[in-house]
Amino acid sequence: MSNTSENPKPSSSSAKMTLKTSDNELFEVEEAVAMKFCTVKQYFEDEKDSDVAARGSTTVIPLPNVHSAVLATLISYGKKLPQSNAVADNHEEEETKKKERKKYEQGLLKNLMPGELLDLISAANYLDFKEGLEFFNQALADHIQNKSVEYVRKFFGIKNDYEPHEEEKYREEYAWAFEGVDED
Amino acid sequence: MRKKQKTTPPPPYSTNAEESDLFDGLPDDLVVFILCKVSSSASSPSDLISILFTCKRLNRLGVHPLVLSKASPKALAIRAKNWSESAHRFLRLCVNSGNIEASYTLGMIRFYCLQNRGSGASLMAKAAIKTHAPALYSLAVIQFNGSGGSKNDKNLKAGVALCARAAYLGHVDALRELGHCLQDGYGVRQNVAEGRRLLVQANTRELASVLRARSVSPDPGLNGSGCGLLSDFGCDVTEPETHPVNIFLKEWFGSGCDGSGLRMCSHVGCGRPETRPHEFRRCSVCGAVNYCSRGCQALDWKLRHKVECMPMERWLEENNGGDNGGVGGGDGGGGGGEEEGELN
Repeated sequence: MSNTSENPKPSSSSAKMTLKTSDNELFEVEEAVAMKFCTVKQYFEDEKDSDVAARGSTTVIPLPNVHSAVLATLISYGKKLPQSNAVADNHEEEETKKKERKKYEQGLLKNLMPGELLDLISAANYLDFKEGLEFFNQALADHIQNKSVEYVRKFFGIKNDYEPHEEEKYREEYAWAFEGVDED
Repeated sequence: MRKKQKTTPPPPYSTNAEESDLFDGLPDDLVVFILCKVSSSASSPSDLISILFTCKRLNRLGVHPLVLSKASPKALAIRAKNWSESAHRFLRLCVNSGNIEASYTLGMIRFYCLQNRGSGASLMAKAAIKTHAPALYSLAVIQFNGSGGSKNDKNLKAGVALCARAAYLGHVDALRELGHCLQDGYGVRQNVAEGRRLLVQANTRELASVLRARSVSPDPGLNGSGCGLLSDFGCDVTEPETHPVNIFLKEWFGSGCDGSGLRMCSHVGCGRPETRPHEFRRCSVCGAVNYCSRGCQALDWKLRHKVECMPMERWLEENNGGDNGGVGGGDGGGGGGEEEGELN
């Protein structure tokens, strides 16, 4: 995962905000993208209420629960989403953008470790990043689809806290559901 | 509302040794969210069920009403040969969580397979009230045939009303059924033009959904070889996908002949059995096949029956050396098989 902390630019058409991660890295993000993180949005709006003079570029928003690598991924995903304030594109442009996004999403998921995916989900939940949460949760669901119980345990790092006889009982009871499940 | 939350943030990109902490670090509501996604995109029951005995926590969260209510139709696609009390319990659990697909599925199974007409119908009604199109259509078929009761329990007007609501939702079989009812003035004032329009609409919708499915999966042989659907018009299109519960019914009733002499609908994708002798209509040309509804009859004609339908008299003649040639039988397309309107 590459760090995509942007170089500070002189104030452009869109306001920027600075986010600080748990490992003290600073990320400058466009307001439009940062607003997709509802936690950030809430913080920003609270700040605005308390101090009228403070604008996004001078306020640093701390995110103690998010590591820089994770935030980098979430930001780059957020940038690829259709912006809410964007001018409506014509149909063709929309289609190309959609295709680009799909390719980006596939590339993103291809090399993702289970631990990384869970980190991303956790962070997206903390940031209240709805689209990110939807996307990564779906990716997780897709991944464990049609896999055996052992695979799911290994993937999540779950400790099996069932006694052997309990587990046997469950397997028997639910035998009706199992047909053609692939092993890892 | 978070039920459980760890105060320390999980270490970033953990190694294998620390993975067990990672899962524990996810709060319950987040796990439920993930499980909802698993259940709504499950392609078979095992996807969802295998979650239930991974560990105690997932067992508890996996049967959360929110997760079960989102279970996809395929997650509830139980095979008839695997039917058991446990499967029955699971479906009931899903019904109670508000899953209308489960209501419909269990309703059909109870009505036809377990012969519990009242409970089955009320479960289907529960789904129908929530505008579940297949449930509305199935209830219509029951009304048209007076299934579960006598011949006098047929209620054509009710059938048409239910069909109309399903058709309004775009249900292809219902559109077809309603189209035929209008053409024949069956349960509703005759309106041939309107009936024809609906039949065309049914065809178009069916074609559209098949094309859509095809564009998703480029393999042309996915649903078996192209069959007779729309073959009247020179189009080679595969059959539409059947609902899991129809597959269940089909398997349950096996070859279609049991001791009681009750027949099954001859349309391959239907699976409905008669609930009393001579309940279903049969092909007036050959008399060898039976259908629960006009819709099934029309579809089966195009898919299969058209080629094999032969009037009884003609068959007898040919076996007698054809000494009486030319008598009997409708021309191709007439008789038992109803013709659909042409696609423009």
